[in-house]
Amino acid sequence: MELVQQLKEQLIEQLCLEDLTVEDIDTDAALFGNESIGLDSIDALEINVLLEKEYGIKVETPAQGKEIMYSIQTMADYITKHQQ
Amino acid sequence: MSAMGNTTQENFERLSAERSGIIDRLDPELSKNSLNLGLIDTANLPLDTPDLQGFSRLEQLIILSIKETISTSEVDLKDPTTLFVLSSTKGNIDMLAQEQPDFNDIALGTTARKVMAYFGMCSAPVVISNACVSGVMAYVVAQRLMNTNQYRQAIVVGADLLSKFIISGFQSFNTLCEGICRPFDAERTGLNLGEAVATQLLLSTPKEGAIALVNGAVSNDANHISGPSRTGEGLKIAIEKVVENIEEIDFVYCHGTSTPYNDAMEAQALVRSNLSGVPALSTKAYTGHALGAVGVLEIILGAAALQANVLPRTLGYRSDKHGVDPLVKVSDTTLQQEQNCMLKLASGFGGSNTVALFRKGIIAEETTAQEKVQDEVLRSVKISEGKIIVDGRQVENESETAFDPFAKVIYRKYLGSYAKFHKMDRLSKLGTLAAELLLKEIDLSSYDTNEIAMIFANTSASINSDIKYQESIKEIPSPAYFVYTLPNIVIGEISIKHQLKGEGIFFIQNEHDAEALADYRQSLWQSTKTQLVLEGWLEVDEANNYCADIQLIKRTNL
Repeated sequence: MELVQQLKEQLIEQLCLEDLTVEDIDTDAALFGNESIGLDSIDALEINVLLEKEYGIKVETPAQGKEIMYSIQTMADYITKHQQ
Repeated sequence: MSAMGNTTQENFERLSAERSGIIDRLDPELSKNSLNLGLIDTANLPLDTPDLQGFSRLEQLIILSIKETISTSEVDLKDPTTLFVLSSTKGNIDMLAQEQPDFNDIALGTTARKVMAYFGMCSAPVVISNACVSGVMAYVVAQRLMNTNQYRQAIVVGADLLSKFIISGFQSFNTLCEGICRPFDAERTGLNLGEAVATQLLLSTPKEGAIALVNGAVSNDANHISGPSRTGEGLKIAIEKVVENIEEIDFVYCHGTSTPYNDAMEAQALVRSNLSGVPALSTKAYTGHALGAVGVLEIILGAAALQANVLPRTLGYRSDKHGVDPLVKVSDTTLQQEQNCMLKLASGFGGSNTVALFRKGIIAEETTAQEKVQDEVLRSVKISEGKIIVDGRQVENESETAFDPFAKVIYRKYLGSYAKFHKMDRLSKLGTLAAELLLKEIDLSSYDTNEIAMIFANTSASINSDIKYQESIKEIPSPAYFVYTLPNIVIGEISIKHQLKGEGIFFIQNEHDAEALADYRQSLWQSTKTQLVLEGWLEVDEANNYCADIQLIKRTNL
């Protein structure tokens, strides 16, 4: 399965975004500060958990996390480069 | 008892000597790597005496702490006018890691009952589990209940011990710092965890020269369940309810956990309530953040500081690295100054804030019995086993009674679209649904939302989520699960959804004691300007059995 698709599904599952479908998440749109997805600081921490659990990636600093998690696309790009 | 010693005297001496009790410790029982923790040293405590058999470590320490407190006073614990208030966030949670945990042993109500039985205390136990404000809240609750003239004295206990459960949870939030924390400092990065068991005896008529609790207030940010309001809104509201005369306050004893957000928020609250000129103190670098016990510990230390006319140094903070609003005054040296009055602040997960004002040398008159305030039930909602009953009439009867599918059906019917709902744990979902039905089509515009309160209780606290979180520790601890391991989060969720900023409190009871809740509600009518209360039982146990039994009650003679 394409990584972008997989990430969207994993996000919906991990963050309990039950009112959303994969189609609702725009690959390039900002994930945070986005009213339609509504992620908060706890979600950011949970994405850290997801990255570590599923892709072996450890986010070192909040600043780094912010960059990686900007959008589904930036996450996919980072994972492709750094997956353990 | 804390990282700074096992008596008040030891603690205050260390505080005055500017010596932290936090040490770098590697204990595989607590965490994989070494951490700076404020641990109690139990080596010299008489914990193996026969009378303490059958009690958990936490309960043993509470018993010793109470013994120490009453050894210097003449209080009769067996007297029904003696109130017992216990404040704790997680109690015996370490037992959850066992193969076959005994949920009854883990329950905070059991801890209260056992401790009270040891001393022959017979009043209705008051157990508060309201995140990190619980300790300060315990004083405010004790005072209010004493003001209803049922009680003449109160034993207030704050108790929380560290465990892998708690430590891993805070680690999952990336909120622990390296080294010793730095409250209000520009280079602060997080907090140190600590543990403590602290007891204080309160008298309804303070003795001459004693420190008196003048007034207290609780509020909710109605903003976020784990992060504080950036503008310090809720804390400001609570401060303004308590402080009448800014000039009399000699220092503000802050929560000052040293997280980037908490300290910034408290500073905002101080500036916005015109208290920035008053010296602000944090002692978290001495003891660590001892959660449900820290409020009691710090009030005891604060009282000692008032008596000694000493304003302790905010250890960890450096004046050339001031890291909050420049108007706020923090000291990196111990000061000798005449002190008569301190304001204590606390904030916690769920968006709760508690403020209490203490004054030295007050002599209070005997309070006369207050007239009972009349109130009226506007609506009642009961939810259990697939049924919903509103004002005695059954409105829903689902054949699928299991919580998860039932909650989904009710959510779709009554909430429709509220994305936060799906992230909630079962207790918060139950409370959110019950509150939605309770407030449906009620016009709240005639009420001041700063004066709409919530009083809830259950037996199992957040055990349903505790179990989920405990499971997650085996792999990677989940912050989303951890945040719900506090029963008062449901109050935070309801508060956010309906923007209710008044008082919120979560009690733990051994079984639904509606009369005890009504007593507390009565004390709210008498001691505060609360106009409307959401009150009752919200329970989801370890087996997903659920029960909501709540009422909307308004005071009638406003």
